[in-house]
Amino acid sequence: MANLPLANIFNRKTRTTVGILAVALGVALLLVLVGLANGSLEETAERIMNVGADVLFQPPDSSPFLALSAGVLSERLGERLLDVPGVASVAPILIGSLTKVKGQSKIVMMFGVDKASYNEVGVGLEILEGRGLARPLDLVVDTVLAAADNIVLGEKMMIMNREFEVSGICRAGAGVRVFMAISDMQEATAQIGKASFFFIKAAEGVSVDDVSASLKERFEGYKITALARFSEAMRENALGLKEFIRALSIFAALISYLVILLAMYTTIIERTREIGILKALGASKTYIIRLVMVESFFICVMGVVVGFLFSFLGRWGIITFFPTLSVDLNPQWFAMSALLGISGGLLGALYPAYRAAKLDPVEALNFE
Amino acid sequence: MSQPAAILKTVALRKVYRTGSLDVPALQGIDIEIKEGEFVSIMGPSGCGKTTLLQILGGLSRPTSGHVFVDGVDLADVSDAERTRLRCKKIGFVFQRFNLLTTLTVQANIEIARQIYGGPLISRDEVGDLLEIVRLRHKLDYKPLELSVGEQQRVAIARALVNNPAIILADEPTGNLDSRNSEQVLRLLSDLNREKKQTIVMITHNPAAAEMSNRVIEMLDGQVLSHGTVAELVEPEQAHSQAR
Repeated sequence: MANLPLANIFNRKTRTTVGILAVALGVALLLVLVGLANGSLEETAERIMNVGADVLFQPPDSSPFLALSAGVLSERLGERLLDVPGVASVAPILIGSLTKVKGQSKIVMMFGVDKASYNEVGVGLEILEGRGLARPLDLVVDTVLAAADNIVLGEKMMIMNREFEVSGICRAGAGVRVFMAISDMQEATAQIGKASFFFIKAAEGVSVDDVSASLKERFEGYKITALARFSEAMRENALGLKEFIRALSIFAALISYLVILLAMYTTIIERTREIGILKALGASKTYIIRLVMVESFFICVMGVVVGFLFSFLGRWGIITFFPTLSVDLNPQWFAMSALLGISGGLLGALYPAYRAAKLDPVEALNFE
Repeated sequence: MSQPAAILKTVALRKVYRTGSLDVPALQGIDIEIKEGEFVSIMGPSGCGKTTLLQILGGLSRPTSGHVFVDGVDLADVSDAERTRLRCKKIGFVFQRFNLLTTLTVQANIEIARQIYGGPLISRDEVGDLLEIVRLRHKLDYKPLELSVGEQQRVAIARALVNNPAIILADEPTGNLDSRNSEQVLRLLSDLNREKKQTIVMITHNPAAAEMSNRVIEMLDGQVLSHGTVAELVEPEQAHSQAR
């Protein structure tokens, strides 16, 4: 059966290609940037959850974004926490940031840990190479950071004006990417006896909810989070993330809208005579509008599919060249980006379609 | 025997084009009547209003005043949508410039006319049968620009026939064709008129082409100058020399 929209798509290759690529760009940008934001958040949350502890104990009004934590808790609070019924072990953590790796600016979160208690509250540091945190100014990095920045055992690194030695490479996936002894971090940051938060392990047979309830009762106002819902807490507290995603969504839809508007408007002018012919054959306004809309729909759908491919390519590029980053391509966002790309495009096609339908058949037939 | 009814009729038809602040009259009170099954030629010098009249008869354009009846329906009284519907159901156009859709094949050009008409889908065999009338069955899968101009016009005629319209309006259908192709197209129109009883209104400058028709309407300056056969209206020698 005659399919004018498809025939036009294949006969106007440059216009079609530009339209498809532009819609694809909007879709891929949305998917990759949202994926990057969500992926980094999820990956960070997952690593904290993978520590293996049950509860996170923070000062009042703290953020789940641990990098924002200050060392305001006394390390000795740990002894009082151990007195709470159902608490099996407690590990104080002091947070720090590595701002340069091999002279290059980079922000990497560090944990200052007490090796023994850290290993007790969860899976601990799984050292794959080296001695781990055995001596003062020892530093452990995870396999991902070591691979990304070619960090090797024995390498010296200046951190907070002190020379640390890379004494271990640990398995990535739990906690952060860089670890040092809490005492070294306390000394380097002049926070002697301080911790940013505590990881708490519940005793065997005691529910995490019960331990959390006991902690809340005993330490009123402190922030007590079951680590099982840490990811959710991070998402809820991600300042500006929703706005960022909303802005990206509008941006993607706007690209589709403008590109299709321009492409179809140009096409309608170029095809004025063709529309005149259709009108002479008896085509109604509805028929003409449907023709333009169907053609735009095909372009948008192809753009969305190419956009999906671009987003996979983008994710591959990001995780290949920036291994510490994570891109989470979520099925829900595939559906959302497809919806935005197609609806933006169809909206853009409305005005050209309306103009085409309004063309005077005689003028259109005389169009050169 | 009863006379065939008027399938096309105009009463005091006027059309004025506005160019800036200037009114340019194209038709100045046209009264014509074309009976069902007639083959009528409209002749006259360029700019006399022939094409405007054809466009109004075909519902492509609205008159400034007066009435135009197509099969009894006054096009001046109906909405744009109704005019479009009537054009789709009753009229087939054949243009001087063929006006085929160049991105579609010959088959698809014919199919789309049926698609617009809204009738049952037309099969490839049926399209082939239609193209047989214009002797182009073997060109089903060609695109218009791969055909000669004569072939393109024959496809345009086949397209005009796909919905079996009561009226065929042809605007200088041989204007872009050589004498051999012109003869084929004219014979085709004449056969359609004779065998299928389709009413044909054809604009032509060519008295020899007009000889194929039953009647000639001669126009000048937006008015009908005379009616009659070619023999009555044009001196035989003049017809012969213009045909050459």
